[in-house]
Amino acid sequence: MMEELINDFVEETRDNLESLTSQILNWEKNPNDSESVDSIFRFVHTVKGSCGFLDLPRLLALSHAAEDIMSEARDGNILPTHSLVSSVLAIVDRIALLTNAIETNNDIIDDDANLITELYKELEGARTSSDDRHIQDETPQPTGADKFEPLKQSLEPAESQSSDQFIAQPINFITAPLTENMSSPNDDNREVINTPQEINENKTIRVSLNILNNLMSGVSDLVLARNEVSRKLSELLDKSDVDVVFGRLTASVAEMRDAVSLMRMQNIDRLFSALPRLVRDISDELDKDIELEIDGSEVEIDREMIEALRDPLTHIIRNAADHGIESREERIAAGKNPIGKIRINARQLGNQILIEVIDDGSGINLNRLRQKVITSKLKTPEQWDILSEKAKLDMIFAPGISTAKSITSISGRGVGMDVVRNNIMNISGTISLENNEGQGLKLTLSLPLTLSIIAGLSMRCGDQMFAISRNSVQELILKKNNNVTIEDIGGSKIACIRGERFPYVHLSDLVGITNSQDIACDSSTLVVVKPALGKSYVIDVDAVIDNEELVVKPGAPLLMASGLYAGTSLPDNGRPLLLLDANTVAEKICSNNQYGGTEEYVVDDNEDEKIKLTSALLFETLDGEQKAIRLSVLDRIEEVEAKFIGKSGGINRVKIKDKLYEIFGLEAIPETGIVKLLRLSDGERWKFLAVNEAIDIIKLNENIAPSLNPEKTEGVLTIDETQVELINPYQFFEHDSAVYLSDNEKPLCYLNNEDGDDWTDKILLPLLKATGYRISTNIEDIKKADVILSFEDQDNDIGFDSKNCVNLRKNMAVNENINSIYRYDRLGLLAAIEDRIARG
Amino acid sequence: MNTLFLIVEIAGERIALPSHEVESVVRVENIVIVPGVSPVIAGLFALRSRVLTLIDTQFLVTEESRLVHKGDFCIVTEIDGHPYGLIVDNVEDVVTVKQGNLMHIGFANKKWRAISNGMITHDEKLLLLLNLRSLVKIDILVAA
Repeated sequence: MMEELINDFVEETRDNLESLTSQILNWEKNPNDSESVDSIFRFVHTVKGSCGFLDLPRLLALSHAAEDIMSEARDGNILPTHSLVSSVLAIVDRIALLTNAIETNNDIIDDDANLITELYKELEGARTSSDDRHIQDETPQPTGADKFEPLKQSLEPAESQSSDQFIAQPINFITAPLTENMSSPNDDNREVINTPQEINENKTIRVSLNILNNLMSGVSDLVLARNEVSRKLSELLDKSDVDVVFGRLTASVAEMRDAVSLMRMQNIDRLFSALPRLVRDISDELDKDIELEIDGSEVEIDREMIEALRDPLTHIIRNAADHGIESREERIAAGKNPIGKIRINARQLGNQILIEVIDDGSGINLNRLRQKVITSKLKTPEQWDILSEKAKLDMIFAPGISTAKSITSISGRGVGMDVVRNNIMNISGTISLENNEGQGLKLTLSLPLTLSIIAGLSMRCGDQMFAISRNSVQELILKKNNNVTIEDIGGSKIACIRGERFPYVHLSDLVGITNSQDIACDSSTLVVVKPALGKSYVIDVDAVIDNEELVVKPGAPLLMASGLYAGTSLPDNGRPLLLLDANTVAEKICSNNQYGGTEEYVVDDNEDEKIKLTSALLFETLDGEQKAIRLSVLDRIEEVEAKFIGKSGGINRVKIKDKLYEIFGLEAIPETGIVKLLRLSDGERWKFLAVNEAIDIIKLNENIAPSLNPEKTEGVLTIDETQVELINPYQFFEHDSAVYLSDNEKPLCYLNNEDGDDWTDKILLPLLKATGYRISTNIEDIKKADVILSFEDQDNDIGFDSKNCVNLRKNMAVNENINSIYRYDRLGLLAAIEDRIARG
Repeated sequence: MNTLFLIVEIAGERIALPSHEVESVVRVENIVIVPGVSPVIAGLFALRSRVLTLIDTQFLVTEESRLVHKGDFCIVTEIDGHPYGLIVDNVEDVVTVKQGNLMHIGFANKKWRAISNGMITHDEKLLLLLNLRSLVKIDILVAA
């Protein structure tokens, strides 16, 4: 019985402790926040009460001391000075330590008395300072204690507020000597426990983790049993009666599965609640002022995830505080707020959780990083210089790199970000950086909603099934694809895909299956895997089966020792599935292969760009012809419903997000269905090219035959003996460049239309406008005009013969005025205008 | 104090297992072979929603892999949070043995010594007592 009570006490205290620290820090920040003071008081009071009952003398003494302080605070007698709060925190830490020790039966050295004495010393200090305040209140002349001025102001409302609230409480300004008072219960405060407790809106009960786990595996069993029944049912001929009932079963099983997975979720606040304290401790140690702002505490996240994130997040915050945020002096010198700021944002985005850690410190100094990288021989200066900025920043995740100027006790030993990244990757998350040199760093963690469910790709090898995390799969390509060759070099194999070479391994060789087919079957697929660290490699499998959501469980140590597997999973068919570990397999392949080992471990964006420039997309036009277009202009492939496509102004256009874009390659608009469009971009504008199908990505080599019509076709390629035109993307963008100039930049055309000629109004004006000129018919503008247009039959008395004038004639045949242009000669007219502008 | 033991047969020997460590005894069905791992692992087997790692106990003693067939006995146990199935030749009975009948051995062969905790006497016969935990230790590979 007693045991049970003590266990309850431990659990409850531990729960309360989690939020308590933040309450204390809140109190420090807002001394007049009576709510925080109350709840801290309530906590220590409850602990004290329970301890007396449960006979835990050390906890009793500690909580009693803390209660004394909080009682004083509640009465507004003391202010939460920094050192006082530190002492209170020390007491709370000790309470936490002792509480845990009750459970583990560990002994904690008993120097509680020191902590308590320290606390009372601080209390005296704090009281004296607030006594000063009282004296000041009575004697209005501001004495030397200027620094209490602002405090006094901030305290005034506190006093009135708290006295309002506790109007019925006897206010003890004078307390008996506290140190002697330690063991006797403070009777005055006994009644305080009756102050209205917060009503707990979310009623909860405590359930042991075991029961929860049992429930979960029970539900999984249920799902499997349902699947089994479903299989059996499908064998039956007449099942209409059962189907309805079975549908109901299916629905409620699914509901239950969801509910159970919700039970695993916990508020992310559990992860964040320790951070304010962490930041406070670091600020003290480093003597910096750092403010922490937390947003999104309501996000729910898998319980196991919280545990897995604790260390990495702590590390990230330490880093931000230590080498992100500058010293007070540096901040002032840089014109920043001397108080540094770290902001943490959590939000859910689909089935991802994003956690952002943003500091307004100095960011990552790329020059310093460069030095570090080069001195630690991770890159040569030449290699560094060609890296993209992102790749450069990513170097902070390389082992042994630290950008801290000096090593402090908190960070800067060079072990760190690589471990953080590995930890994050272990839970299938990613980490990305946004550097704003001098202004701060933003670090984004994106994590799956739950730890245990991953998107997997299942594949077959022989008669065995395997899975691999889809996150690490870069590409799937059929082995019989013409862009693939497998080269045999010195006993190891290299796969060459579009000219790029990867270490190659057949899955059957990797895991040692002997009964796999020797001859490549039609479905043989190369899986290009990009591990977290190391170079991409290729696994050859007999077939890729499916994309599946897999519930992954860690395998037994004996299984994991092989270094091949990340765990096991039980898909709906009830047959266990082995999950390959993309990272350890990489190590295996590289150690057996002369390839790799010292290869790049950073994704090189430039390299990526290079590939784009020299590769092209092979596609089939709507006419069934094969053509190619350079990847560098291709953004993506969009599938658009036919109803969003329409013809206007002689041009087929597609409506995407309320904007119209031009479509090429589309003769007739289909009435229904989906149209596949390639989105082309010149960096500013989008154009769409309708295609039947995207076929493949091909490497462009030097053998491009010239074309007779280079505006439309850059050249001709030979692919599998067929000739394929390489489309010149220029043609799609050349037409409307002027439209995008802002009005003031457009050249001004003056049109002499005194006669109110219809032709000028209806034909010439729109043409010029569409071409991108500004038009004026106001004679005032004649001096500003870049080009003046006039008709040969008009009088030339207003200087129309100046050199920026274009004369138009109505007759096609040339008469004596050889300098005029026939008014329907569109190209000639535009060329003449351009010529005048160029000359002017 | 009396303790319950489950008596099974491994590699032709009668072996005792502390019954409180045994969750259940089942017959295996579809086994998924795990390639590329220690031969101690006989495969994976889904027992309802749990995936058991099957341990070839015979291999540990004789270094000869035992072909696991559908219907073979498997002792279900959980060690360090991982569910295992120990493949045994036969399952005999659950017996009660007096505490004092446990003794330590100094003569068993090295392989057996690596996986047993001693001996018990039952019906005036000596039985080796299996140490389940030692079966799934990684260094068992070295010992075996």
